[in-house]
Amino acid sequence: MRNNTLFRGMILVGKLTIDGVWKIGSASRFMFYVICRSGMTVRRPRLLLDEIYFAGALSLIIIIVSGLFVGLVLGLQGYETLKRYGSAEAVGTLVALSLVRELGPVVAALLFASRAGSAMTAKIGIMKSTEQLSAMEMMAVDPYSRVVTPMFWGGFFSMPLLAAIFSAMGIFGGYLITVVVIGVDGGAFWSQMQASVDFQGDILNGIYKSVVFGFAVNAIALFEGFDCLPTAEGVSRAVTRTVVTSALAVLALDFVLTAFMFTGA
Amino acid sequence: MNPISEKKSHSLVDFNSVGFSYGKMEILKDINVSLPRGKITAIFGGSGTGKTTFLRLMGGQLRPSQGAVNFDGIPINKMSYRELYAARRRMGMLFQFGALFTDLTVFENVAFPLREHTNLSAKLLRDLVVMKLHAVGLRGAKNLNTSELSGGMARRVALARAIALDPELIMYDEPFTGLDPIATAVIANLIRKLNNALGITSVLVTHDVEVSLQIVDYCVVLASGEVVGQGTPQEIRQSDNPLIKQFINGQIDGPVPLHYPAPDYTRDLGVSSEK
Repeated sequence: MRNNTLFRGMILVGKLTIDGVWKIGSASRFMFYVICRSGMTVRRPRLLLDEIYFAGALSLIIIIVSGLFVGLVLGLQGYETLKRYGSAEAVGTLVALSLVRELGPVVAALLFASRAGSAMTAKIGIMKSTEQLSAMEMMAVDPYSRVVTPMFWGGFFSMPLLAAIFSAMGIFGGYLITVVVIGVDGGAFWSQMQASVDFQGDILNGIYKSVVFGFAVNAIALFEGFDCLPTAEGVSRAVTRTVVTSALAVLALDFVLTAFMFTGA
Repeated sequence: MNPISEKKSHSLVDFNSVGFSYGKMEILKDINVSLPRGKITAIFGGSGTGKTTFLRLMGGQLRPSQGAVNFDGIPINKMSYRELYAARRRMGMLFQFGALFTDLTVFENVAFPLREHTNLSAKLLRDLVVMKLHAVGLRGAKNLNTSELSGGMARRVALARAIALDPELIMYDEPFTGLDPIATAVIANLIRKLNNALGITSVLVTHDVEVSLQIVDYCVVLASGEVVGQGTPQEIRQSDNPLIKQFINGQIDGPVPLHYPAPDYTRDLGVSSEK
């Protein structure tokens, strides 16, 4: 009996490993196809613009509002802590660095995964389950070139812009709460920020992060949609997987990227 | 008579000893079928006999495990990506539930293949779409959203879309499933009319025997992944084959058993005296 349980456990571990490797393989092949078939997106920029609108412009509200609130909270918490050491003016630096280096790219990517990523997965999944993708194939229109690739690049280009808007809104929120409401000196707020935020080391690295997150989140969302079982339950599971996997991937990648970018500097 | 058409073989699609399996599960075995040009062929078979697989093999969406499916003399499974897409431009397919693009209107659905494959002016494109929609009787519905269509209307829009590029071959996947008698008659009539008017080769995969036998020229009966009979509707009706008889007359029990293979019933209920 015990042997049997042990044996079953081993089978389960084996199965999960094989499934995992298989999935990584199919996802890589999927991304290879997507990138190889980007020609149509270049030839027909209208397709790309539609997707930038779908993934980017429609995510603006959530990004702007969340950015503002994150900035407000950062400003408030930062001020409360820094004033104990008599350096309340450094709150501008604190808000800007936290947002540009970490919170901007990471939180924007998490929000993007839940707003646009889940929508992409659902759209592709439903198109698959209602045979719209098959119908396209039978009309001699490649669904990768026509549907998936523009979605991928649309999301990919939107992500860094959304992260930048998130950071800008956050800084504005920080300014609002500390300078306008609490009364910290505005000149000190901005000048300390200007003096300590480095374009190359902070802003550019933040942008690199959001580019990597954009690639990961869009790849996960589209692959999950394409790979889902063509049933209602299959699509709903795929949407959940998109949000969960994207969140984990963003946080894990953030750690790796931070370790490379900001340590030892 | 033009010399090229004389050279063309009698059939447009040929299945040569085609077998297909999903893993260990054999779906189709040793299928030898030719679809005559310009005619309507019905592929009959109960649910799960491999009918849809049959169509997907013709469209190159699946590749046979054995044998070859030839489209106009060229094996589909040996075609390159470009050749396959070029061949698909000569095919149209009507999916079981239409598979219309839900984010586009009726007009845009029919215009989709034209926009993708041609550079027609807006005026010409509009006229063509209106003509295709008129052919299926839905010219007046061109501005509707797909969510506003009934099942029968959706299938007619899908049919207009399938004939948008004037294909040589149209595949119908269960065109009558889930339709009321009037809609069924409308679709059946359209299939026949389009075939006569455009000279298309049509393949109908269905289990709706009565309606189909009235409109088709040739029938193939599939059972358990094998061809059990083929011929004209007349020959099929008169067949002595018990499998075909059971299918055509809709008998509950016969060579196709009612019950899925299962252990002995009494033993399953635990009332058997045997141990």
